[in-house]
Amino acid sequence: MIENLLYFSPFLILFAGALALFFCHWQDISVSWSFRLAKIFTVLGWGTSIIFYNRSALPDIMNANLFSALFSGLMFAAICATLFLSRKWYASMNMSGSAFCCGLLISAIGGMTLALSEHLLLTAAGIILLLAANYILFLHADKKKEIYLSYRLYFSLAVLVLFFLLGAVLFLFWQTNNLSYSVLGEFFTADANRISVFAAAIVLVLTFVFLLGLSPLHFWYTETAGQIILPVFTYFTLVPVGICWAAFIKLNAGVLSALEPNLSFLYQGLAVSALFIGAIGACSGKNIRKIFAYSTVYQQGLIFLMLQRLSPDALNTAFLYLVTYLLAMYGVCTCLYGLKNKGEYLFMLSDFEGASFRKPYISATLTVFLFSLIGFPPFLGFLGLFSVVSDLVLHNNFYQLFFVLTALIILAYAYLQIIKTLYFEDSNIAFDRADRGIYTAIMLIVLLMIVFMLHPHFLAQDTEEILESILRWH
Amino acid sequence: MIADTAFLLIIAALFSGLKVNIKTDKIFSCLVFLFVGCIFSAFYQYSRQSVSETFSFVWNSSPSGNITVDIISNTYNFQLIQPFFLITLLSVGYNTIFRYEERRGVFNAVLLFNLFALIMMITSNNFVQLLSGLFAVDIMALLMIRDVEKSKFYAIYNLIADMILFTVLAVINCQLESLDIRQIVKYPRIGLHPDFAAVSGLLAIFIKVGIIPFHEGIRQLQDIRFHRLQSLLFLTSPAAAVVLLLKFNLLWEVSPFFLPLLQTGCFIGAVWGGFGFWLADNLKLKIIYQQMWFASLFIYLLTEQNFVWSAGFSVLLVCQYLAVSLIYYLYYQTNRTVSLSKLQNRHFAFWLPRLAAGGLFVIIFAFMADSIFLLYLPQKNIDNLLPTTLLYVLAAAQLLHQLCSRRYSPESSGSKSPVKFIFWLLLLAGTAIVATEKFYILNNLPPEIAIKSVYISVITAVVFIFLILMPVPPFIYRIYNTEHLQKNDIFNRIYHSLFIEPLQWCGRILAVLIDRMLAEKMIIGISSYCLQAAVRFFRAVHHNPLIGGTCFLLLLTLLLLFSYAAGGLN
Amino acid sequence: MTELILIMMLLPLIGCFFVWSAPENKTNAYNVTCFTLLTNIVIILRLFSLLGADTQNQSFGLEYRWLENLGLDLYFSIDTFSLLLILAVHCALIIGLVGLNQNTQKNKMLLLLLLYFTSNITAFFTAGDLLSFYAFFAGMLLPLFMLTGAYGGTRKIQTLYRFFLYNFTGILFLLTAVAVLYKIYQGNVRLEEITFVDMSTHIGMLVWSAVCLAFISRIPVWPFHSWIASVSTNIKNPLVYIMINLMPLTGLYGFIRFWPLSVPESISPYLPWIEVFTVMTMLFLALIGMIRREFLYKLFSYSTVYYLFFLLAVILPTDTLRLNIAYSLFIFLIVISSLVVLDLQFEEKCRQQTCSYRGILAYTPRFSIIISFFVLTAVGLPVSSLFWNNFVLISEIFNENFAIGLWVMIALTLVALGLLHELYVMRELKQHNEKAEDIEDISLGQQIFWTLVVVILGLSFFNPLWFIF
Repeated sequence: MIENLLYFSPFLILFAGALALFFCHWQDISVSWSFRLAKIFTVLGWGTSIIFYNRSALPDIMNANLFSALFSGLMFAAICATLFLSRKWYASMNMSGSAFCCGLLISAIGGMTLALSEHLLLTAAGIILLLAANYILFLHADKKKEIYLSYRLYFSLAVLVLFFLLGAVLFLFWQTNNLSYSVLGEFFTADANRISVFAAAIVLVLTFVFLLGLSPLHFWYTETAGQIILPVFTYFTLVPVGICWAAFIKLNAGVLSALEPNLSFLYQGLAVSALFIGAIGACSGKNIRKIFAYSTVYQQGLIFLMLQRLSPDALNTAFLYLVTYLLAMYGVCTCLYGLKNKGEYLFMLSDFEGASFRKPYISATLTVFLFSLIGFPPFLGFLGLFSVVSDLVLHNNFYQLFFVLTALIILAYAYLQIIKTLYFEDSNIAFDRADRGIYTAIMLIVLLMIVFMLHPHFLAQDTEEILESILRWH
Repeated sequence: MIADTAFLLIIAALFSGLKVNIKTDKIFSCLVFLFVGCIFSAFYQYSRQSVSETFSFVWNSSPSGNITVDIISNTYNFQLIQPFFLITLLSVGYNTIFRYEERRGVFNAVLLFNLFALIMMITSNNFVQLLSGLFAVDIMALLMIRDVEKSKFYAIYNLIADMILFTVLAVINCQLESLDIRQIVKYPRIGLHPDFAAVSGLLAIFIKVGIIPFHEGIRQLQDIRFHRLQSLLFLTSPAAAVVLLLKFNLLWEVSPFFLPLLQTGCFIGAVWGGFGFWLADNLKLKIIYQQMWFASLFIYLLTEQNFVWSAGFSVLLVCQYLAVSLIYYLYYQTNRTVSLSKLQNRHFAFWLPRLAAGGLFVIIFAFMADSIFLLYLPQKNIDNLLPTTLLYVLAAAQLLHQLCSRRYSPESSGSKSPVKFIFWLLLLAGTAIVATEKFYILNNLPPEIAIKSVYISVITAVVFIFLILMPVPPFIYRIYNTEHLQKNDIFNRIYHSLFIEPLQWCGRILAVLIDRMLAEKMIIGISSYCLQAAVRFFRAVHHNPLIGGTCFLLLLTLLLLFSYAAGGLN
Repeated sequence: MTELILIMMLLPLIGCFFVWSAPENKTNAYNVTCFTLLTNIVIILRLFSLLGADTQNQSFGLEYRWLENLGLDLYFSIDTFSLLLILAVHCALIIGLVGLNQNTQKNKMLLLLLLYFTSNITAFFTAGDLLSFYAFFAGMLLPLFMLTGAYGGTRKIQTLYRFFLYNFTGILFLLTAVAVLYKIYQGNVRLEEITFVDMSTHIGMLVWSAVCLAFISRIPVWPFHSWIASVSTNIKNPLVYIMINLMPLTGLYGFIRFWPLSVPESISPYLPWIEVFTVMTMLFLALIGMIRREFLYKLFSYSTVYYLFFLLAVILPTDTLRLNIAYSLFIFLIVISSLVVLDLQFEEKCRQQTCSYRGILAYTPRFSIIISFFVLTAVGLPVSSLFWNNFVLISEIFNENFAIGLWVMIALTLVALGLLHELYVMRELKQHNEKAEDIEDISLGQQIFWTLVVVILGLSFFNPLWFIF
């Protein structure tokens, strides 16, 4: 009993933290206390999840292993990073931020659930928690009319998705009486050709597509990214990404592997549409956050393309690309935190004109991160792009390679617009002084990128077995 | 021995080029002249000995073998270098005497470097040395001209000629796979494109010599200083062209087009040169046309002698130079009056020197006629040369009449020109050397031919004197005063219409068509247009949620259908 | 020797750090940059002496295990050819530095990017394996991109987009080829082994086409020339101009390293098309250069035509010409950099005096001598090893294809005429503007510098590797 409590401790700690912060929200506690509490609970939760990385309180439905620990670790790192940056935002806005922290912790619970889940119902519960966390964060965001409408749109879409998800869960329960992944896997293997079975699989897949904000279900993310507050934008871009992919991989490896011939085409189609929608969408935007939101759609599409086929190489490549993306996007978000005018955080592209003259270091690092996202050597993103291209070539997917590279050229044009605005436009905008922590964070990311670039085996070699283990497990 | 001469010339040139003030410049120039004179004297003596030696060192290596710098001393090379050496020496002398050259030292240095370059060309055994010498001669020519505006066309023409030669030698090199000039005897067996090599080479030769229709570059030099012009006409590109002909005639003769084209060109050049010499008002222009005639004749005689240089050619060349020197002197005597029409009613002092000059001209002319006769002797048919030669004789006689037969008038203004004894010394020394050579030549001939040659000389002299004494017909002065004839630049206009304007139009059309239309508008325009269209479509789809939602729903449905079907097929 | 190779690559990056920490609006950064480049030249000369003059073989190099499980080992090595190019680049950049005016000398960003670019291009020339070759081939775009935007003149945005579009597309082509070769070889390929990789016809076609397109996008063969034309006409900073005009060199180098001795069967039917397009581009650029009046455009036309000429030499089926190409490129780069710097310096002076540069040489004798020498060297007169080595190259081109050789010579003649004509325009007194009399001649210090450059060129005529002891 005590053992199970201990194994369940990460969840308990995070739940306690969420409760505490919910209480703090009602009491309107100061921003430093809110964030301090949030960090403590996050670190504790992370620590306990590492300690009990291979221990599960409910081994039938929750499987703790290195794979889940790895992606949980990514998630917790992203949460810590988001907390670090967001604190400055809330401090400058003189808001407590406890609702935001609460939302983060709830999403952490949901994420951990997804990472450990070996049962569809648990997965659904994790998804519900994530959706709830997202909704809380939307509610918490700025009360502009567009946001108000957008989170209603999100709510309706989320409810719709949940409705379909629950329908699929019910259907599968009705068919198998057991929603564990192993049983479901056998069921799908046996009845792969039935339309109803296929539909159920599609619903599961599309749920994750929605969660990740991939096209064609990207509206809720890309249309709101431009208006929501920066911390929430940072959260959506960084936090749920890793854990959703982990859960998606587990689902595909454990449950949907028999449907790979059907689903492969769907994944390719969705991925390619995400690539182009992301790239073209980035070109069409005048709002810098929207540009990055669409860029995220592109990056996710690329990862999705890798995962059309669950092989060890593909998993390695996808993970590598994911990490390079996360690092670069964290860097981008940090730079956005560093650029504000008269206390207002900027979001229109024209607001950044001539930023390089006033903020040379931030502009320079933003440029570095952008080039990393394009895949330019010698930045870390080059490693990710090279892995992707090699993987596609290895499997003779030359048409897909053509789409990837074409969309990359279009996306590069969008980044060019940003760099051009930063460096080659004249402006009289006076930027506020950036917090020292911003520079610290930027230096840290750059250092990490340099280390990973010089020693990429941390990303590509040392995690190989952990990633392959999920395939062997199932 | 030639190597020693060459190195001494370099030293002299470097010494001459030292920066000194105006007063010491003349003394330096004298010293240089004396030094070069000594070198020439030693050279002349050695040339009598039948010594053969080679100075050689490896300069570089290539896929075709080592590139060596060779300076070969043999009788043939001595003979070939001699006239140019003598002419250079005389030029240095004139430069020292005449007072209108500010930096004598620099001009002397240029002359000596030019001679060195010519020696490199003459003694070369490989293409690289030959081309290097040729280009060096071109640079020296530009330095000799000094006048920027006048040298432009000359530089352009010579650059084109050099590039043509570069091309020809590159073609030969790739066929022979050797840089050795002596290997060109193998070219007929293994070489491709002999016609190209011959015709291109000939084109280059014509440009360098300045034969019509490529005379424009030299024609533009009519306004530069006389002695610069004189040095240019004898020592630079025309000399280099002759050397090239002697080096490559074996190669070019393989082509059946070479000799006919060469002889035709020479004939046309001689005709045009002759008429130009006769009818030009500007004295310097007359000299240029005279030189055109002479060069055409000279090359023609070379073809008749199978491109074998002999003492007769040396004599002919030096005689021509001395003749032009005399005209230079007479030009100086007439107070440097360039326009002959203006001379018509002018009077000058000091008629005796002019008369002496005229007389010496007759002697030199006789030597020339004799040399031409001897060089042309093997041929029976003299129809090709006779008309143009007669035209030349008439023109030369009229020129001398115009220059020499001015009336004496002690009140004539601005015409006090000193006698320039040193000039006469040089001229007479040169004439003496020529006479000595002539004596050697005649000595080696069969007696009947030698006597015949002397008769030719005497008869020519008499006829020439008679022609000089005849007055110049008035229509000549009318032609002198006809501006559109004198300033005609018909060839300039032809080149402009046939080459330059079409090239410019080509450039403009290509810039608009290929650069702007095809590259810019098509590639960049299309990609830009496609992206803009995609962005517009994207915005339209995303602006209206209903339309956007419907579109994406349709997309999703299609994907699902296809994936289900793909799974079924699998 | 391996340490020296590493130092040679990293020294400019270390210099970057010192430049970054130098005070603003002072010439410290400039001095650091000059010192860094000169030190690197000393290292290069030392490497030359260690390598010896007679060997064309690659020396042993520097190996770095980057990613073992994917077989990605990086390899860097040098030979006479690559060292010559590195030295030429350094000399060209020093010449460009000399051409900067006092205000620009204090621009830290320019100097930072210059050093970063130098490090990149040095590493590019020393890259011995496919991956590092690609990495530095792509990596050098970043500083040039930023500099193009900063100094691109009034049309910098269009220039920037063109620059990026063509070069980025080229990079992606090369990336595809690298990935395919990596897949076939199942690891990172050494550059000298590429030609031995066994490929099927279709794959070979894909790889070689991608490689060709990648490098041709840098060397301005039509229709990939418009980016460099746009850049060259709009940029007025001599250092930036030189750096951007080093890009075709990288494409050329790529061909030299990749191109096999015997053309693969998969692309041999298309090789004549490359030659045809190359010659077409040469001719039309030469013709356009003739009609345009700006000296800078004529220089651009000249440099482009010569790059294309070298390309034709590179794709000849012989490897005996490699050193000749290197010698020619060495002198060519120095000559073109010098001409660009001199021209832009005086254009700047003329702009300040609001006069045309026509007839300017009449009043600036020192400048006149220097620029005349460089123009004559560029035109092909035998004052440097450019003349002789070009002779060898053109001979081989004639050997391969007579018609191509003829058109090449026509193009070379046209650019030479254009340059010569422009020199005369600058010298003709009747063309001048009165204000040109007030223009200052080059200073004594600059004259000494240019004399040194002239001596280097002159010595190369006798022995291209005269600096090896």
